[in-house]
Amino acid sequence: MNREQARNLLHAAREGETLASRALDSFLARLLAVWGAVYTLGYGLFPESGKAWAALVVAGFTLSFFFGAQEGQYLRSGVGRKLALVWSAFGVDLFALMLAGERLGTGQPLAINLLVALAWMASGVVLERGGILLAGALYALANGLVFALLPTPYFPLLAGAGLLAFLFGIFWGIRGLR
Amino acid sequence: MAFDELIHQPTRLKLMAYLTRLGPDARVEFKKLQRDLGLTEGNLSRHLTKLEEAGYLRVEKGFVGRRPRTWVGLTGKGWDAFLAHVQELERLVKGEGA
Repeated sequence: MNREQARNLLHAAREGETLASRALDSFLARLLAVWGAVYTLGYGLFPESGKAWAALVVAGFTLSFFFGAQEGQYLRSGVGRKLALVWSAFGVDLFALMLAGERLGTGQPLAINLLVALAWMASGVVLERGGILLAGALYALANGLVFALLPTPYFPLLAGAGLLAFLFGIFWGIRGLR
Repeated sequence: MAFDELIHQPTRLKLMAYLTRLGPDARVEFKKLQRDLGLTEGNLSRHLTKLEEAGYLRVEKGFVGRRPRTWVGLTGKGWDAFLAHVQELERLVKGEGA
């Protein structure tokens, strides 16, 4: 076998890896779109309404676990099980933070978003994707900075970030279908 | 020298790469594999049978609800064979082999 043939075969192997990555990406894209929509609606329209937030979070978790169960019909892996554990643990933390809402006062949204960032970072570690780990870390840093330095536009900025996540999730999902 | 004649075939190489990328314990349903790799049912079945006979894959029948499903996953032997084969290809591309 010559070098050119070996190169073509390596190309076929990379193509197989890309196809597998796309299979995972389409699931992540759906999650991003769902939670982007939750953030856009929650922080954009009902930032202070506990009831509206509770309904949105329940809807977000229901859809996320529905997508997870749907994915599990075709693809099962240790990675998927670990991701389900990471986000289930996040759900428990979120519930605890919502219960403690009044005592936490204005710090509650920051605490929740730091947990979101932590769950993304853990997902990055599970998926062995440095980009997701970095994005989670940057999200935590941006939240802390904006909350401390620009408290007034904190909610509108989170709504904007949600809209970006929603659009990116839709774009990512559509691109993955091609 | 770790060239593996069985994995060498481009479709089987792509199939093994797909499964390797999903992790050592991943299992993929036959129809999904067929759709993602763009293969016909017969073609995919033939490749799976060859790889299963070599001990590189495990093929399991099961149910999701009432629907029958066929699950495909790599074995440890298949995982090692694929990585060794790719390593050999990379060595050749770098000009270290014949």
